[in-house]
Amino acid sequence: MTESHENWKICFDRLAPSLLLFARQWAGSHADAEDIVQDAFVRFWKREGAYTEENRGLLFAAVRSTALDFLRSTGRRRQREQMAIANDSDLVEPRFEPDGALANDELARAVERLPSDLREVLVLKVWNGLTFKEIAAILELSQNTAASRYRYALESIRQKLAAHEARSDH
Amino acid sequence: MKPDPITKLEAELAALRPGVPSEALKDRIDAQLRQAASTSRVVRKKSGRGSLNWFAWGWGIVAVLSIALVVSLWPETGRRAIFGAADYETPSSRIVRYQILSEQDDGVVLDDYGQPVRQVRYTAGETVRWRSPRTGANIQMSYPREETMLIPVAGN
Repeated sequence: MTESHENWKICFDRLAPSLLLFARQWAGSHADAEDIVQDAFVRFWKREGAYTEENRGLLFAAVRSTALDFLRSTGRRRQREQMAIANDSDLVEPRFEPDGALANDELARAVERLPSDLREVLVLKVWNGLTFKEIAAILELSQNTAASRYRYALESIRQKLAAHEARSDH
Repeated sequence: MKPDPITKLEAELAALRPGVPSEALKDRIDAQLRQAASTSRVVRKKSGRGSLNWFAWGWGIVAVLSIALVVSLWPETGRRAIFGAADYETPSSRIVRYQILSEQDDGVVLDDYGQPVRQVRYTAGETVRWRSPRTGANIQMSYPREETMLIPVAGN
């Protein structure tokens, strides 16, 4: 067994939850997201053999391209886009571990209801710790656009939470 | 100092825990990477020299030594009678028979530069004749040989 073959397990343990969350942008179920992460991770590791600061963007790019291939091959893209437009997050499995706190549940729901283009930037930034430069490269955007989408995402969540609090007060 | 709302929101978001992967996912990746690693090893192993090559080289050396022995043991007059003075220095030779005995396709392997190539090995019987144009005397030698052909493979 080679050293790099063992190293992947350390890397995977650390990254898997965030990769799954990222893959869920395009997958309606946890199982589909796992399939995407599996294909992307194996493809990345066979090519790179290690995960470093320099190539970490490639891993997320691999997940994204695998997810898009997945959508094309299964013909689910339109369905997922329609679901995103409808913001009907109750139709999909939750992306976060439930912790019983109502405030956090509402926060998670607000993330799930974000438009997909804002949510993917948020996921890469908050749960994967990527820089706007890396996010821009992965999503093929300018850095300014990536940063703008991140701000819009936070603002959208903040407004949703405020609206929810206002409804709760009545 | 009170944190601004955006910083507070970022901290709350970061506290949300993404769903964890199943154990089966790790096992599936493990199996796939193991399979990929073993395939890679097999391919690289195939690019090495086989024992059959040494066999062919051995026969070649035996053939050359045999010729040298025959020539050195031959009486001087006999040598001249066979080759002639000038021919002895540069005996003319040619391949009179080359027959492919077997062909083995090893599939795609990696060459010394890591490029994929298709490796095909041929085992052949070759007969070479040395002939004196002046006297017509000749020596004929047959030996097996192996040739390895590496054919570039177009990759994506």
